[in-house]
Amino acid sequence: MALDLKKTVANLSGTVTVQEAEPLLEWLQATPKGKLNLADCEHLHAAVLQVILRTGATIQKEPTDPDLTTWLKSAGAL
Amino acid sequence: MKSVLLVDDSDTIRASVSDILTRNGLKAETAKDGKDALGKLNGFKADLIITDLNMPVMDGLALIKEIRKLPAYRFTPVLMLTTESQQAKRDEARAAGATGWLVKPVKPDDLMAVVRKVVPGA
Amino acid sequence: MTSLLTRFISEARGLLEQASADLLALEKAPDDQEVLNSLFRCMHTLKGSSGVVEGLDPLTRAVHAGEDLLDDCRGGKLSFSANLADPLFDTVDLVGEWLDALGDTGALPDDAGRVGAALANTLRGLRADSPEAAAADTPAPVASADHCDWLRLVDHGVRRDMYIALSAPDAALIAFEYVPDPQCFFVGDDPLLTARTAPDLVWRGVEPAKPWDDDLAAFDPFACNLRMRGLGTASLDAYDRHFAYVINDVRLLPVARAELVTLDGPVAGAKVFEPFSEDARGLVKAADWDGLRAAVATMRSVAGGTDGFEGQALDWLDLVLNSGPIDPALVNRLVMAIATGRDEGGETGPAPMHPSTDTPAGPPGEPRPAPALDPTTAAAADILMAQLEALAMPMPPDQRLAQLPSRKETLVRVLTALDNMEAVEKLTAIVHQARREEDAVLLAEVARDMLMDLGVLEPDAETASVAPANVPSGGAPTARKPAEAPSTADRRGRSTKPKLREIKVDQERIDSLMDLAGELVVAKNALPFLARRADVEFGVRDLAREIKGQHQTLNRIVEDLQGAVMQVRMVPVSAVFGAFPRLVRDYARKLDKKIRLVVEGEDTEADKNVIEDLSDPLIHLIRNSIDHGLEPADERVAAGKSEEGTIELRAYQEEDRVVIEVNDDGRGIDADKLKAKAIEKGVITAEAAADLSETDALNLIFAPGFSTAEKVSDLSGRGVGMDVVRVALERAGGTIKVSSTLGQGTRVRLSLPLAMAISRVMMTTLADQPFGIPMDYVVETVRIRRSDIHHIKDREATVLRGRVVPLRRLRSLLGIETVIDVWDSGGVLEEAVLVVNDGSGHTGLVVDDFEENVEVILKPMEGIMARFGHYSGTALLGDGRVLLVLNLREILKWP
Repeated sequence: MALDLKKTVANLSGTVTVQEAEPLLEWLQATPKGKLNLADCEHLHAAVLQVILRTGATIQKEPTDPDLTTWLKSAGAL
Repeated sequence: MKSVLLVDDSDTIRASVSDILTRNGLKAETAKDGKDALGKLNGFKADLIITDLNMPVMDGLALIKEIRKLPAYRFTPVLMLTTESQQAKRDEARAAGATGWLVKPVKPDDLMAVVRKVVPGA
Repeated sequence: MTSLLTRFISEARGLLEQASADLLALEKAPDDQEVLNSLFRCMHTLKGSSGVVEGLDPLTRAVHAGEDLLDDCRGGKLSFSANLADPLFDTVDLVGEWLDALGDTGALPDDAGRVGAALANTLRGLRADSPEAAAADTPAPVASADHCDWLRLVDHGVRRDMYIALSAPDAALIAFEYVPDPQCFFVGDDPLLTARTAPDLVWRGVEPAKPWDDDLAAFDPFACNLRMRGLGTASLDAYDRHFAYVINDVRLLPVARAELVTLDGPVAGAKVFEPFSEDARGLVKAADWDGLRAAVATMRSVAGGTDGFEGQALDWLDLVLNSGPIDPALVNRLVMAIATGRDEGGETGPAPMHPSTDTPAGPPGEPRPAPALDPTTAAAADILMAQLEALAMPMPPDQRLAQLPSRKETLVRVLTALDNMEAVEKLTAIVHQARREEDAVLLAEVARDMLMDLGVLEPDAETASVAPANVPSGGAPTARKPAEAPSTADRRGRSTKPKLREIKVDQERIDSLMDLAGELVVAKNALPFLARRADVEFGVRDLAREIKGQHQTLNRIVEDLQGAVMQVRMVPVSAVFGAFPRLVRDYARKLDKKIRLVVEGEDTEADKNVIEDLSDPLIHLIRNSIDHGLEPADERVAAGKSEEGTIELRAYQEEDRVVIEVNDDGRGIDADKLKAKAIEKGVITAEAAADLSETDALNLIFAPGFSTAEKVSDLSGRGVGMDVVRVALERAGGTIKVSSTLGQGTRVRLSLPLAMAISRVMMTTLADQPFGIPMDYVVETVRIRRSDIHHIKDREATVLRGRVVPLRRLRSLLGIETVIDVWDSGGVLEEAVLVVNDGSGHTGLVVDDFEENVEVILKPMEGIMARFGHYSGTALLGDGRVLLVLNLREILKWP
């Protein structure tokens, strides 16, 4: 499961596809203090990245993938 | 495992391309024309569709337009198989919703490089 | 150079010419679809052709971008206007310049990738679907599209590493900026994936393309609003391929070393830097890099640390002076930055489009420091200077006129940007149309005034007297440029300078010119026929005389034309002589002989074909001299000669022929030995040999299959003798003569026509049909009384000036029925006799009658006729008849 929405934490793992952008956006709107766990995330579709950037969601755990981390850091998401 | 639907009226191309895909750890499903492809997409979730342009029954352009109408396939990458000279066709296909193109004859390395460019984790 | 490349260059030149003409026409009539199509086709063909040739990717990319832009115009998505014409002219200029480089060196200039990519980006930016297109009509900062303006975002460490990496030859650094189409998700794109999978990235970054809408409800996750950037070390081509599907949304820019250097942070402006910057400026001027290195090291130990502006500049200086080839312009920029607290060459300043490594900052000995200008003014000054230079370039008037509207437009834009509306009005007032030649002067004046206002140009500067075409070409403006980097105008300027050096023309074009000139000769020859008809058939003698007069005039012009065309084809014999010193050296070593080669008259010119035909015979002759002519050293010494043999190669012109002599001071040819050999080989009978003169005996060496060498060496010999040389020369219309003095040496003399295309032939008639005899053979034409013809056995002969001349009847030689009645009728009968010399002596050819001699283009016999050796070719006569030209050498051999 690429997107696992819990009460306060959303776990993003593997490849998070464009289809997951809307559910994530809805969850973040409904859960303003919700945090993201990207530890097992390998790739985010650009649409998902936009959702994270636009909502300014807090990333609780950064990806272990260093390349993805670099991209997220450059956008100020981390 | 990522799945690819390959649409081409040529048996040879279907056999050779799906062979390359399977050997690179992808699941390959094939269809022989556009109509066949739409039927296959009903019971099958493809992460990538590769289609020829000139086919009987329903050609590639019409197929791409139909695919984009399916909610599940709005964002799915679709690659078309073209010959070197079909620049205008490529533009037309891109406008119809194609993501990119492959040039026939397809070399294994080129194919996989392109697949990895459009399917994350392939 | 490959023939493919040569072909491409000449094809491309033609296309560029057409493209320039079309562009000029389009500026006058922007809606002309036909011209637009023609221009599009030029670019399209250029793209296609260049794609086939290896190593022309930058060219292909540039014209491809031009083609796309024009396609938008054709499709009505875009209307053609001056702001499109400029970059398209730039494209034509640039490609023209590259073709020059290709012609000279076989490769594009080193900076082609970067310059081409910059231009392609500019062109793409103007396309209908480009995000920049909307802004294209507003007075834009002209130098924006083609350099990477976000490098300061890249981590300092990465930039330092890349600076070091780029110091290596062949290293490349490409910057990409990718702003996807908002709707791109719906065609299956994942722009982040595309960007992430780009090869060999050393830096990457992503940010919103536009600020987010404040209202979160308005946020559409499926409308892409991202801008991705990256720096990578793969080739430009690799990124081109990687981004192929979305190339219209991607800007690719090669990054130059100097661009990596950016300075920010607070300026300390401390006194502590003053002595250093003074010293440093002196050291830069003297190019004393060791001295500067030491000064930088000292200064860093005092005020090191990378926090402040000066500290960063010092760190960069340290790096720049210690890695790879030193870029004096960059060093100067950094030193000046420390001195002034401003980085004039950095991203805040005018765009350094070609930060070159070979341009020293400012003219040497230039004491005046650059006026400190704010960035906008500096950019404006740069543009104005470029315009001024461009206006001063000598160029054909219509080309200048064609450029005026865009030049005016540029000036208006600059003035608007500077908020100088007064000047805009003035400019508009004085140059309404920008359609007159004088307008160039007016525009130049405005540009100059503006530069003086900005304090960049001194009133007494040389450029103040600027006027089109009277500025020395290439004359550098004496004013100091605000930035060290040359602008595009330098490039454009260079290419608009008329090039008066050689042009390279495809051989085929010259041949076709030659053919046409030849056809003109033939057409001209129709006039005497016409004159005769006017006189004889129609009885209008006056008209006939007039036609003859016109013929004379035409004749002169055609002769001049022919001469001029011939001249184009002339090449010096040095083209073949060049290889001989090496040849002689190698053979001499092989045979252990000491040989000196003397070459004279290398500059003698002859038709290219003649020169080519000379090569093989000459090689053969030289081999013969070395092998058979020149004795071994000991033999020479014994004969009282110098140890070292001499071969003399002389070329000179003799009337309309080029003569080449191969002389050696060897043992000479023993005529008696020759005769003996000839008898032994059955070439000649013993009786015939006894009758031979010395000269004729020497000519025996030209007999087929004759070889005089007592031993067959591996140089000459091999069963191919002098007859091969003779045949080759005769085929080219040449003759060969040998003379020799026993014990002293041999002289072989080759004589060839300077040019071969046009032949003069004597026309004769046989049974009312014309036959041509090459004038080269004709000695004289005589009429001989029947009674003066003597019969010797079954042969006929006559005596001319005390010399017996054998007669041959051309009718019987050619198998045409002999007319008997001439022989039997009474009275004084005369025979028309053409005395010819085929090299073996005089022969009288009996013909029905002579006609005039004419100039013809001899065409070789084709098809089945080619097998008839007795014809050397056919020619078309002015009155439409076909003339068969006889091969006398062949015919006279017949019994």
